[in-house]
Amino acid sequence: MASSEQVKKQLEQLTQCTKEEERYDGPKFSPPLYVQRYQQVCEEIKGCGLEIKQIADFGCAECKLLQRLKYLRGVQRLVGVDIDRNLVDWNQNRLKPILSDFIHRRETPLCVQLFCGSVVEYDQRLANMDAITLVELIEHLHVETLAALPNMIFQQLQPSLVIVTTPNKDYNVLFKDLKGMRHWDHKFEWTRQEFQNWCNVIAAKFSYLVRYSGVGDPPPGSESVGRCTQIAVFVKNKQQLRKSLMIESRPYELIASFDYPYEPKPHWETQLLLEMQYYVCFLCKQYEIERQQLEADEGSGGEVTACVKIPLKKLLLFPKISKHCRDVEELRKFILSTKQWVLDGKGCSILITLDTIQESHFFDNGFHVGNGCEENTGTDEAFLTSGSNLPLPEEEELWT
Amino acid sequence: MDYNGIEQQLAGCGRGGRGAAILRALQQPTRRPVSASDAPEKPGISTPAATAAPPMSSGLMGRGGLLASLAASHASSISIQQPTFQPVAVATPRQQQVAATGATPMGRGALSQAAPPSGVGMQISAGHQEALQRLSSGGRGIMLPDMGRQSISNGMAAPTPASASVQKDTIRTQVSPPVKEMQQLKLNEPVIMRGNAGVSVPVVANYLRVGVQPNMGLFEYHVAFVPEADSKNVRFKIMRSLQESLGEARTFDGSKLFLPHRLPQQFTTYQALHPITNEPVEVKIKFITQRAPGECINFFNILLRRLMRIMEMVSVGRHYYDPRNPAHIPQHKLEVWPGYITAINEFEGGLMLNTDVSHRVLRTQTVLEILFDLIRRCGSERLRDEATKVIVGCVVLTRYNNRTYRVDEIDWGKNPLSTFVNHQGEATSFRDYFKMHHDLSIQDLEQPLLLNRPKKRDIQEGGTELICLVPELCYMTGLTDAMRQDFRIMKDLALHTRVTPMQRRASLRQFVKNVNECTAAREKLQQWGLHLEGDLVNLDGRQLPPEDIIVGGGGTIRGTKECDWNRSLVHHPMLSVVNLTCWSVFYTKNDSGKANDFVAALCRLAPSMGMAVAAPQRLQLRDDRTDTFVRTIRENIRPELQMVVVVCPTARDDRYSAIKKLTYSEMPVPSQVINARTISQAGKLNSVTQKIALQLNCKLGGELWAVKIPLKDLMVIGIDVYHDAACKGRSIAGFVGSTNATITRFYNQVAFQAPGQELIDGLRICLTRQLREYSKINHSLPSKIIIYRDGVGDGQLAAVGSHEIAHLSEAFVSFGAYSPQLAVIVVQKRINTRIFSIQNHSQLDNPPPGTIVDHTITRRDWYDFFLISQHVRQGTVSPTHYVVVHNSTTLQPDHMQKLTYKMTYLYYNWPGTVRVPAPCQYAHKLAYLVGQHIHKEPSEHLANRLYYL
Repeated sequence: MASSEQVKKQLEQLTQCTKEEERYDGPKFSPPLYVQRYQQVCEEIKGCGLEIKQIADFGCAECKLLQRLKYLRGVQRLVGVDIDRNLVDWNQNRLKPILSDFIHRRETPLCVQLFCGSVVEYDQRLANMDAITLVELIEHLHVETLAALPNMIFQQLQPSLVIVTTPNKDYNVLFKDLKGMRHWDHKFEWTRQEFQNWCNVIAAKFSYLVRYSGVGDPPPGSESVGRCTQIAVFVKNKQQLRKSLMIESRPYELIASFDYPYEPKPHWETQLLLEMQYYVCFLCKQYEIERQQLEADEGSGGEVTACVKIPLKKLLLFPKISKHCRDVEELRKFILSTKQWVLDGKGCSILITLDTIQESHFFDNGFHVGNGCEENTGTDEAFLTSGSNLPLPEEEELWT
Repeated sequence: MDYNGIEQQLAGCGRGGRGAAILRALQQPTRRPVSASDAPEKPGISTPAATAAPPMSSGLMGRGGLLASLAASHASSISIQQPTFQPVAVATPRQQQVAATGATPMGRGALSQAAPPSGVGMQISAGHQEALQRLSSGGRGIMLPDMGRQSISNGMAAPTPASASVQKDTIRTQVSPPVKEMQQLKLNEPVIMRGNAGVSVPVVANYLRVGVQPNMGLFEYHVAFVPEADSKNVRFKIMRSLQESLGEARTFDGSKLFLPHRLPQQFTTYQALHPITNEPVEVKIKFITQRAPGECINFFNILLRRLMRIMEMVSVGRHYYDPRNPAHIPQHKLEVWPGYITAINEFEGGLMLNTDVSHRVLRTQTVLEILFDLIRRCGSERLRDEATKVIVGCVVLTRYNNRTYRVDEIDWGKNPLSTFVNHQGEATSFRDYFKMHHDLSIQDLEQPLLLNRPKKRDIQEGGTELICLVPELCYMTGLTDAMRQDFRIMKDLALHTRVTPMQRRASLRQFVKNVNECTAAREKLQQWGLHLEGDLVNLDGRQLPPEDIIVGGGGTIRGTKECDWNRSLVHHPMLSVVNLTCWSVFYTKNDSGKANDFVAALCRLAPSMGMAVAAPQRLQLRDDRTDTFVRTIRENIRPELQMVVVVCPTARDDRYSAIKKLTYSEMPVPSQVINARTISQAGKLNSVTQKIALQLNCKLGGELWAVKIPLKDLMVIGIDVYHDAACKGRSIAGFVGSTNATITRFYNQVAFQAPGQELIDGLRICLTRQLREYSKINHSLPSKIIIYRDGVGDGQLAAVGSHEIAHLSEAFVSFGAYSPQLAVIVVQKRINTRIFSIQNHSQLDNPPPGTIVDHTITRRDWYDFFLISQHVRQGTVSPTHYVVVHNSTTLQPDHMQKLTYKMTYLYYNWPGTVRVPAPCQYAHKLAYLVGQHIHKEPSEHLANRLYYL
């Protein structure tokens, strides 16, 4: 029977399959190697110059790469595939839309799906991927699976971009206490030569261009062993068009699917109108406090009305306004077209009469009797600071 | 039995020995089990006299007795066959606190006969010098039932506030309690304190009954693995493999297992395979006990949260919201998410779900955007001040890890290129960190960083002491105080958040429907034998008649349904008036016209309200700078001056603070600050002036109106606490107590609480001064004291009910043989309870002021009631929850409720009823003024008038 010590270690290995390089006595990586790996994959996708809308990650395990990929500009569909159902099931929460995804909605849709399945089985739901990543996957595959993989990825799925990462066996000499391979489940580890041979054959056969990089720089003096993780980036030859396979096949089990909230950008005029409303309000508060009141040029019936004057120039200081209107003239035109505001005689400022401002700073002492109904805008103190009592208009405000 | 032991020993400690005894008990949390030699003293806890007391005695007595008898029936080691009043002699010095126990039955027993003889008490504490000194004859008996509770809660640090549930906890913490006793616990009777005054009215409350299927419940088991499985993960995996035998519904924490059903045998053994080694493992499951529904509240609430997630709600803070249907308020860059507040608890009427519609306000700007907007609005030189005002204290949401942080400070010396030491001990810049770990590129490298100081608890759990946040990556959340005071924002928000009773019910019904129609959610509940009943509970409420308002000149204003006498008020003189003979008005040149108009209006209108107003000294200021105001006012304050009126050109906080600091602390004289705009409209000038006249009279020490108070020798005290928003670590308590029979004159004090100091020390001093003032005015001390205490959360109820009261009553000692009847009522206004009145055709409306509900939805283990005292015109009214945490008065529940209702009439800044008793509202206002503006103790010279209105 295995001792509990061994079991513990195995379990740790099971659950921490992405962090094996950190466990050995040897060069330490900062940030951890797996973070560097993910970051490099992201950079490769961003820098490939292709339009990448759909990405599949085989061997997604803890789903951490997918978690990063969802912030990639332009991505609309992410698919994670892993053979270990439980692992994916436990980690699916990582990919759920979080609060900020709901508040700051994307401009384009995004669907994230997780499947349980094998990399060498064809599933039509993965047919249109633009990019496929195989991060630290191939070294876990048995010989026959590995043999079937190139055909599956490069022939059947044919994405424009394929990124493969795997340990660099040359580097292992730097891990002093490492015996055998870096992870108990590794079926093999390749030297740079072995990996590049494998990749070059694939590139030639399926008409891809391949280049190599890596992460995990060796310490000074050991440059000859290369980087700890080797990366191959395959880009499909442009001449070759994707041949769509018409096979009806859905062997993968869908474990989770998340649709991210999104909201297309509104028309610029709508945007500008909303920004104007916000900033006019925003500036009013300041003017109220500093009391730059003016007497209106022509009050009704000679009565003097107190006004706040907001110069258009001041509004143009805000980039969210100036990006739509280059100068005062354009802004003036826009304001006149909305008919929401009144301009002064010269047309250089918006006039807000105090009545429209409402008596927001009416009291001398800021506190309002909590007589009103409670507006249940939440009771959590963390979100809404003290007090949920609201002043009721025209009620206590008269109680100076 | 450990805790039982402490509890009994402390149960009735006399006033003198209490502090020392509790301290000692707290210092030795693990006491040796009660030894045999302690046993004879046990009768101390049982109080047959109390239980035998007339049923009409105070609520607390009933409970005290109940508690005692329960304790007696559960703790098998306690024998109560021979109730004895004979005190037990002090055995050893070490057991002095035990000796005090002996006094308990004495005090308590005597209590039911109102005046406990002091002789015995003296004799008991004789061995205790300290106690002897502090002891005032006769006073201690009254406190005793509560002492008992206090000791329980202190000794146990029990989270559940009530005596009966504390009892449960006590039993639960014992090592392997006998099952029989556990089941007896379910029989604990809820505390029922009902009144019957007023007219019965049918109401609906936002509570849903939770049905528990018979034969199901929460069954606790202990699980052992052979051979032992160390890793929690392995244990979970093994348990998962037993799903077929155990069922899908289970919770397992590694050793404790809960199932919704009883396994047929006491001991059950299952065979399983180790998930990694594939070796056989034996799983031994032992039945421990069945938990009563009241003990499973936490579990039910966790279950409820799971349901919300199943229904795709997103948690923000403590509650769940629907992110798919937000209301947008783009002109303020706000969003409002609808959601629900839910909490299952065991109430007087059984297990129920309290649910309410809730709205969460979220903002769509990053902190960096706000910073830039501020620069553009007010220039970069004022940025720091403005930013501190707008951002510090706010809660921000980070976009990378879905967490929220409170901004405690802005560090202007740092920027994203500043470095920090990561957990590997290396220095990394914030820019590099976010790039590498979150693939986020920070654009603005000159922005300052926000600092968050985690709570002590989080640091202890391994968190860092300071968290830096990058403004660009933080979104603002919630509303700031400034936004809350902005009418435009609140008006636009109200469109979405203000919900009528009908809308509220519809949306709560929809919630229940959603749960019951969602298969996954319903099944989740059914697995545990629970189901939600389809509709909100119907109840009988009572409505108290409106009070008549007594005004000056012998006049009376008949009470109306709306409890609003704004219009009638100006036709009557004020109840008692201080004439304004010597006063000054300060104004700037711009406002001189307005100031003159105001003075003219005041001189014209005040006489009809009974107030004579002489012409003031008028002082025009050179400019509107704050120090001009302060200097001129200071130069013109003379001893005979009654009132300073300042017309301010704008509502600026710093100027207001400076004026108030000067007039309320440095050179005490009542002051009235008027915003020039308030008196700028000729059409409104009259009504504004009338109101200012009322306020002036209050500040001069006059009274505006009164209601009939049937109690004699009564003193009512309101306490509220202001917590400094800037988090300086100190709180300020307002302490406002009445000094006359009609509860219309008040003595006003504040107590500062320094960090690490207990608030209660300040309150005790306040109470002493309050009593002194009362006796100076009335030449006697009050025989009844009612304290309304605001600002107490649910978790602190027990502490207030015992610890605070014990401290407070020490104030009585300095008045010799004085032991007034005392009631302490906690006032809770931020609650999720809603009560609607049923109109014709099952339409719902807000109940009128005076509506009371004191059963079914009230706390199971407290003497409490809900009262709606205020009238609202829009939205849903929010009832106020009153918990009588201590009561040694002879007042019936009816009296308590009526008195509370009357108190809501007496807030002079509002010609109508308010949400809380007036003394509480005064205390709030006072604490706020001091905390927000004055920052030091206001002058004693002003303490006998409502100068802070």
